[in-house]
Amino acid sequence: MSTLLSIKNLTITFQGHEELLTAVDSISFDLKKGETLAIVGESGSGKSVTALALTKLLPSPPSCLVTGTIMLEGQDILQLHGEPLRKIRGKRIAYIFQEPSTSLNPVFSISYQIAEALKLHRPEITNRNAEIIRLLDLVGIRQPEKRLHDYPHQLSGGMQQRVMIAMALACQPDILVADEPTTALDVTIQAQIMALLKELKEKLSMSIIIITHNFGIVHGFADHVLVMYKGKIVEQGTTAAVLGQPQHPYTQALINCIPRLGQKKNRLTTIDYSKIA
Amino acid sequence: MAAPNRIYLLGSDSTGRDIFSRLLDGSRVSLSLGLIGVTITMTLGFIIGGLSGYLGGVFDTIAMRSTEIIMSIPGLYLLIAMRSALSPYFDSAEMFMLIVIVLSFIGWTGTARVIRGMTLSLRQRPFILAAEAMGQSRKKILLNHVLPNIASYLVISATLSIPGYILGEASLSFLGLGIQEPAASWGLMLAQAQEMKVLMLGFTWLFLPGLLIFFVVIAFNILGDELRDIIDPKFRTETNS
Repeated sequence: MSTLLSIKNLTITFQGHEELLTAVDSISFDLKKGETLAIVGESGSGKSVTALALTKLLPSPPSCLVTGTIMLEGQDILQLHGEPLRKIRGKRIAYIFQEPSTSLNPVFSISYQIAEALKLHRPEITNRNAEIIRLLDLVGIRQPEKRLHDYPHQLSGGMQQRVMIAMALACQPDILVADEPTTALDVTIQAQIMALLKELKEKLSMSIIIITHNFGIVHGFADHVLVMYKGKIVEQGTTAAVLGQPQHPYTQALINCIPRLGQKKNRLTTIDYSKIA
Repeated sequence: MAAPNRIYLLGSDSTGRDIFSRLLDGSRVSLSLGLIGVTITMTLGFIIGGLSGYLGGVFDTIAMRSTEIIMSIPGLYLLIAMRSALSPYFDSAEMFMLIVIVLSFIGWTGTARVIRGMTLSLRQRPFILAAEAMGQSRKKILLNHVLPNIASYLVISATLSIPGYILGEASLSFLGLGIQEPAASWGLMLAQAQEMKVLMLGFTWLFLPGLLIFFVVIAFNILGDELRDIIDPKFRTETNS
């Protein structure tokens, strides 16, 4: 498998009121073609910021400074501006966000919003309606032709997330970045969405970067895992290795924190930060 | 002066002019001024407020400080100054156009500030980030995603400020700053109806322009309400399923 995305020494600093806050501290990792990479870590560990930095979606300097290189097939995304950058957003790297209900524009029908993505990145398609129906069908929306003119508020959370996935797929991206795609959904829908992503990944041979704090998702879905803590990568490797024999105390603590069904304990395990270097 | 009869449908005024014809003629000034004024106000307000909220940073600071400077200019004094500086060179219709343009160039500041605030809060919404992540250009995001979300505000605000311009015209004409004789406008006609002899002789039909202003103001309010229901899908009741 060839390397698709190569991140070297990515550092992201935010300008606080007085001091500089380093959200991501010199991280490096590679993403291979067709690979699923999971980034795990607690809130504030820099996962989402890393994802947004991939296509320069963070606020511009001076409020936020991004250094390092993000090479997408020999092209440094961080050096791009304007039109060439917009060609990468959506077309090469597409996103699915955490809250489907707010990630869709409330004033437009779903077909309009998917059509917008098509118009932008695949203008050659003449029969857009047919393509939209195909995409909605692909993400498992029943009777898509009847749903075309629905507005986001008429759909359930799971359906909204499917529409978001359809929008992301509309541009046929090489890399799909899913930023906690199931956090806002309940468990059964979560399982459906993850199964869908897995199926689509195989069908369309995309690479996926999934950001999560759910180890169940990591276990069933990812090839590689990257554990982030305080803006640094503390551990990375194949899913089996990281989950099976966690080396770093933070990873061990994090895995210990997962509550298990049938566990007869009075207190849930928490992380003792003083023991982590 | 004549009471309504078969020739003067609504009677005539003190110089024998037909009230009905003057009402129709005056409506052109009264109604068009509102529309022109509102168009200028809303366009400028949206462009400057929208860019300010969306781009932020230096542009925001410069734009907002300039609107504050413009807001601090009292409109009425500017108007009186303009009127005395320019009056010999314009006929009254041109003059009034000029006054409305000046007023709306001052008036857009309030709209711009509200729209900046709305854009600022919209900007934090994930669907704007999603559109950006999709590779949309800033212009398209502003027009396709921000504008429709504040359209209901723009529509309500526009329809509600049209009566403001109509009433403004009426009060300016009353003060002698607006349309001058022999041209007609509702405000001017209303001012003339306040003459002593009209009141004493009981020619109350001369107050008809006031009634028309009243109905137009109500009509625009209802229109604004209806338009909001049509534009904002959140208020729609029918479903497709």
